[in-house]
Amino acid sequence: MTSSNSFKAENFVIKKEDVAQFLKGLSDYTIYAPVQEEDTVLFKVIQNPDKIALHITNTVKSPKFVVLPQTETMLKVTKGKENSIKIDEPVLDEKNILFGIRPCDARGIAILDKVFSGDYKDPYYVKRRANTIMIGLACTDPHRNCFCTSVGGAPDSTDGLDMLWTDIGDLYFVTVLTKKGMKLVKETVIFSKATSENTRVMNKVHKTAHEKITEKLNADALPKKLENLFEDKYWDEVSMKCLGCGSCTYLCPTCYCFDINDIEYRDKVKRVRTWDSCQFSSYTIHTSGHNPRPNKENRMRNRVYHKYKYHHDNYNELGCVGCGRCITYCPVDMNLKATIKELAEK
Amino acid sequence: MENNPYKPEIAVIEKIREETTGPRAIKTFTVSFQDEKVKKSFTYKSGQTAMLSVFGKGECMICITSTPTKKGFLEFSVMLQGKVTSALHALKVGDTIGVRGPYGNDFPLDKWKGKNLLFIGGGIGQAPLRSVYLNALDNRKDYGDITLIYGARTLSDLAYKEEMFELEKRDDVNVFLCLDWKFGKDGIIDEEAEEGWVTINRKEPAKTKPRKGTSRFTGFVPEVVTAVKPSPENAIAVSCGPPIMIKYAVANLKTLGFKDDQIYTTLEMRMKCGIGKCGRCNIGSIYVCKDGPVFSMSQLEKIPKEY
Repeated sequence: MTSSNSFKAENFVIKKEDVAQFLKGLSDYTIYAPVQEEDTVLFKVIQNPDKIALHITNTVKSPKFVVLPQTETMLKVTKGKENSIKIDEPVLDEKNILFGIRPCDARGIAILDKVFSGDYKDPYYVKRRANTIMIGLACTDPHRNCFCTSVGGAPDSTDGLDMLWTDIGDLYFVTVLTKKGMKLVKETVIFSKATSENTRVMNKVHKTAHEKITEKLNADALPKKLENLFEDKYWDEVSMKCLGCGSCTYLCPTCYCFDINDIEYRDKVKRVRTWDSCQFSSYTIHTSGHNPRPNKENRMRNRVYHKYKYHHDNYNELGCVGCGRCITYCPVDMNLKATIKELAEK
Repeated sequence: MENNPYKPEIAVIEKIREETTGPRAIKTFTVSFQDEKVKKSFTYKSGQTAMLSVFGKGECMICITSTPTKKGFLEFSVMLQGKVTSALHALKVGDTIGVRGPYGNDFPLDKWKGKNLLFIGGGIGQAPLRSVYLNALDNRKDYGDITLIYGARTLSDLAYKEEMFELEKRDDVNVFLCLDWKFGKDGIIDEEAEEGWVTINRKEPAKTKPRKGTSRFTGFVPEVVTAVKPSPENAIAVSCGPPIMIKYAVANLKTLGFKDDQIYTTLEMRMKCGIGKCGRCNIGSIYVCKDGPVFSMSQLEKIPKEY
């Protein structure tokens, strides 16, 4: 949606001390950036750029909520006299900037772009996405659970981004990738053209980050492998300790399943969309009580199949960006990396 | 917001027909869109579904049971089951609901031209079939023999009664109605469910003699399939109803020589969006809401058994 094929990337640098001034100049936008609160770093709306915490590799929650809110009102319905019904849709004209989004999370949003466009466009997502500018921050210190390079990503991937920033010491190296990104750079005089020395340092930083991710999983083998593993008893074993809490799906940058429900108060109704999870039994249960995925092994199998086969069948790419959140935050230490390895070897 | 697929159009309930009563009663709602433009532009095909809203209660996906050959209104047969269907059942003529759609694929009636059509329905499963056979009957010369086998637990559980009895009188459609066996403490009681509803030969259903064209039976739908002995020659069979009925009806069709690509059914799943986004109705990489609900048995062979 944001990638503009005709745009030729241009390189700039910005002094670290000027970043706050750059962000303060963007007063037309709501800026989301990682903010530290006690021991948790999350994407939040920032008023004061000094609060931005870029030191950690990744936030606990992916910033997908900016384009696909955890809860949003889709329609407001007013019931009037004589069965008259008035339906109002929300106005979504807020302009957003996602500052400091990691390349894996940006790839996650690039994956969602394809899901929410296609035959039927989801106007809520499409509108929010069109109003969002993504300024990425290349990873220099990948987390032990990161595996982006095994699923088509990289610590310096530009998928979905309007700009990619790289920490090169006192400066950020800024690669502008789209017209939307260029508009922000042009609005100020803070950015200066990158020198060949800046570029050399940037390349070195990227190379070092790549080298830090030593583990390479054979995830590409899964779409084919999984063709014959649906009935395998592996799913019973691997899902044994799963609590079915759904944390993996809520934190995942590519999970997008949602529920729609009505909330009624007197003559007013809000039709609300909320995130849902394929790890919950209520997700698939029929009104009759029949459940096509009654057990956690069915549900975990569906999650893995969706990411590594079904999504690939439909979009020709894996539905995982290797951020590792589902591993880091699983309360019972379920390990998707181990699952990928075990499945690839079957 | 332009082209918002989640925004329903308002429709007025014009007629409510009580098909069956009891804890799982079925009502057929005839609705028409309030907006004249929508009324004209809303087109659908037999087999497609629509998302109905009772504002404040929510939405549910219901198949369109009317035929697109009749314009200006839509019919939905709704079984009393959960929150939204209960709310629908509480509505009166003149009340308004939301309708969005149509969704999903349809029965390929164009491809079936010149073929003999066999419809096998059980209970509320007759609702999706009704749109197809009424459509075919409105284009009668395009098709060969049209045969309906429809069963319910008891006479009062039989939906579309008056319409079925009218169809029984027509000589261009074969109608076989059946009611389930009665059960006693030792199992099935081998007697007529209602007067004149001929009992099926349980040991050898094939030896039951149906009257030409029309018969009423006491017995299960799959047994009636065997008794009626439809020929697989140039034929298409469509079966909708409880999974257990479909399972045995299909097995009996195969014994008669029907191939997987001659047998069709519909699947149902919990649905929220209707447009392949919300995730829950997937079977493998397909979404029943947009890639279904109509499948041939040969298509079902290729997807995981997770429905």
